[in-house]
Amino acid sequence: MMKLSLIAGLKKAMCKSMIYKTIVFLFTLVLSGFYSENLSAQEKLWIKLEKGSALVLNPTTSEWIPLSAKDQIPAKTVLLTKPDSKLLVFRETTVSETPANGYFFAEDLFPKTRNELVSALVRIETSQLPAGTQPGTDKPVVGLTYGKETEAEGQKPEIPFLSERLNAVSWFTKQKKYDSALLSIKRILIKYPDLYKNPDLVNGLLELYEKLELYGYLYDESSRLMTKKTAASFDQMVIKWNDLAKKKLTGRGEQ
Amino acid sequence: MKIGIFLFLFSWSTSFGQSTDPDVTFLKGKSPVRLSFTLLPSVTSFRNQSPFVWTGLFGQVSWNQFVVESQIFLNHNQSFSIKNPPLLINLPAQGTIANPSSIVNPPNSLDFQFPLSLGAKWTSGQFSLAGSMALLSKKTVIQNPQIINLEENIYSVSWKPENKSAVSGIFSFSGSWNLNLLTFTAGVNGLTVPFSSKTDTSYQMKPKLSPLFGIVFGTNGIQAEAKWMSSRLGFSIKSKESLQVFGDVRPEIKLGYETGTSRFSWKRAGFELSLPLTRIITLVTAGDWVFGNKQSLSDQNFRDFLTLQAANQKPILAASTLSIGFTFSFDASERNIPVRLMDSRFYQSSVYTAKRSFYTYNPVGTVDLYNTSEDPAEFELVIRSKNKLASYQSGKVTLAPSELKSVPVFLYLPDTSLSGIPVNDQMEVSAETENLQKRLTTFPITVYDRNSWDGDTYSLKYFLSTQDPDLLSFSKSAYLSALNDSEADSSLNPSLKILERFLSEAGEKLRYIPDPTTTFVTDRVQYPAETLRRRSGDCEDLVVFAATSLMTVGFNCAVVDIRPKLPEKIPAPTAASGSIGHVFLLVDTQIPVVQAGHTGLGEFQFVTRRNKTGEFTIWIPIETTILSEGFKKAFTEGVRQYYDEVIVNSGVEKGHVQIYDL
Repeated sequence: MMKLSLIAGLKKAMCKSMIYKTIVFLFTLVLSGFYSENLSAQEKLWIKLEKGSALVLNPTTSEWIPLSAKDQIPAKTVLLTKPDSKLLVFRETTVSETPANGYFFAEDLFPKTRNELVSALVRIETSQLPAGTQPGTDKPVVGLTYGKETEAEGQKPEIPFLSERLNAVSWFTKQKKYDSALLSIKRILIKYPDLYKNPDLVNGLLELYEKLELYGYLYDESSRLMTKKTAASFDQMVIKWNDLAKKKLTGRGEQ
Repeated sequence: MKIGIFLFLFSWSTSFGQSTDPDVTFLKGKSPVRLSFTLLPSVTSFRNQSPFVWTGLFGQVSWNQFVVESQIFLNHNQSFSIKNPPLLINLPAQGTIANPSSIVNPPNSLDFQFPLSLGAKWTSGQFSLAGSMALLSKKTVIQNPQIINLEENIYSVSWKPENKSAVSGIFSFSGSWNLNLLTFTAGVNGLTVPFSSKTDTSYQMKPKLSPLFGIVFGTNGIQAEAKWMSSRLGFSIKSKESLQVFGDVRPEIKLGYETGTSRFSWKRAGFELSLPLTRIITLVTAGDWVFGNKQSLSDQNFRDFLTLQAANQKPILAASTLSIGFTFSFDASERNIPVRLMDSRFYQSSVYTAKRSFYTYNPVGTVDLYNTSEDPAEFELVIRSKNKLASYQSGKVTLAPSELKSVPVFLYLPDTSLSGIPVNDQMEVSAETENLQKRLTTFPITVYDRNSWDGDTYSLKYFLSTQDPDLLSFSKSAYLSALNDSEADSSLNPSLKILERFLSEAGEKLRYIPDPTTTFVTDRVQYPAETLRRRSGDCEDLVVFAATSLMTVGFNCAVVDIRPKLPEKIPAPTAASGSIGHVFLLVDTQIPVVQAGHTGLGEFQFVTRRNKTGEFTIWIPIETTILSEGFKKAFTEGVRQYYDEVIVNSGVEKGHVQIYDL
């Protein structure tokens, strides 16, 4: 009798131990899932093409792939919509309309928190691999690279899909999707810094900073632009934004 | 035999101008001119004689490897009155002497002295040669009888003194061999050269030519010497400056004992005490006693005495002497550098020959130096190493009085061909003036050969050798070929086409072969010319080769490093494409970015960067490990890596993607 109860006790203890180990294993598995990073995979988005045609860019081969009515695309790539097209992009339960005749980064479509927006701006700035590290240090130099204005010699300046890019920015702004508009215009200017000479684009960029209350960015960009030699009207516009940024940053604008 | 005035000098060679800082030494062959002289009044008393005073003047000049010494003795004279035997005169049978008392002849006299002696010494490394000459001046007065026949059978005797003088030089030569604690000396003594042509008297003062031997055993504090020459055997023991008796007073003490080893014997004991009073003045006190010799000298003993004395400036007849005087020392440069090391920090324990130019402009360490004096200090910082693998000499470092300054230390590495095995070396940092060296500190380093790489991608630029003739010729030829080919095809952007054809040709038959071993401590990188010869290499070898080839013909390049950052001392090894540790190339196409529409390049196939002239141009990624498969594959793989690591994984933002412009 005594022997049987001992075996039963042992079995019970082993059972408890196995349950405990299983719980720990599952917990560890879940945690590792949270904290590990899959370097190669990226988020996928579903699309629904209701009207017209649209293309998605294969990032590595640069081939434009026509989208079918219902398709899945990577989040970090570019979409090109044709005029009169109607394309919806889905991220989990969120759906986003897209501009027709537009060229935009798919991930930029979705609303972002302030932190996500700043993080995206940093990623855009570093995406062009600006000058690396200072000699003797391993501190990466992150930020915009500002260089000599390029004068197109002989050939007409040719920025691919410029009108589609600007259409997208304009559409996002009209739709009050300011975060999408800001990221889109920032992508254009970072990829083609010569466009910083365009007062309308610059004004649009600074206005979006203001709308999104990114006064630090507004101050930095306007301060940098003030050092460049531009037309008087351009200068006045930039100074206006710079003054506003200073007021907001120092709290004087509230008085 | 009467001993007349006897002047004696007991002189030890004093150590003039000793250093006050044990870390300070003269640079080899660079000692300054130093002058010192000693004025030493002395009192000597012989047995049964009144004491008398004499003075010695000792001078010493030293510069570089030479030392010249002189001794002048004032009133230094040994006089002997030599009693003549009665005169025997053979007279005729009836002959008489008118003045019989004059038959007792007056004594002859003999005076000698060493008024001046000169010595010189030359030192080179462990060996030194010395020579000296002592001037011996001798005067004799011989009384010669003159017999005059005054009248028949009457004679008178008179004495006519005959003066004779002779001057000769007594030379000695010796050589020494210094073996740290032991110094051996050997030479000859007693070489006589007559300087006057007058005939000498029967009282000869010519020393016998004899060998001399000496041995000195010295430690940091005590030095003992044994010496034998010219029938003299001497022992002495001398303290050095490190002997600290009262506070900061550091006297020198020397005790000596000497004995004659010939028929005419003597013994001597003496001491000398030198007490520095100031940096210039030293009080010198000496005592000397000679004893154990015979009081009265027979004719034979006297001749032995003269022979021995001629070889010895030091008197060898019994006497007591006490001397007290001063030494005055003057240094052309003060034998001290008023600098104290307060702290030192060295950042590089491993140095790589390939990064020679880096260490020339980037400090390997810092030393904090303090000027301990009330005057400005000026010196140079110098690094020397035992194996001569590295060195450094700064410009003038100036410290204001009592100033504390951090001074950077750089390193010059010669392009020595090490065998591939790291070599350890000890670096000695010192402050130096024109003549002096003050050791400050030491630090160890490990020197790696010219192919060793510290794993820092920034350092890859030190392997670029765009002036290599083989590579220049290869690149120029490939570029010309690319130019000709691209002219035929006008459908593509010309610049891009040239780049494509050039890279296709440069990468032809170029194979990826990993390093034989990856030690996780140092990786090895081939110079471009080596890769050209072997047509193979691992990823950084091929990146360096492709970058150098491109830069040789005017394309700017940058390296994109997609390795995770590990702790500083564990550089991650690089590997093939697709591995975590990898580098690939970014090439400036020189096409303005506003012309991107003419290139057909997509959103992720290029980046916009500012080149060295400040223009925004199109840069494309190239995976150099697969260049042999053609430009298109290398480009596509480069784009894939850029997209995955930079766009998808935000590598720059997260820190595992680094960009280094070459």
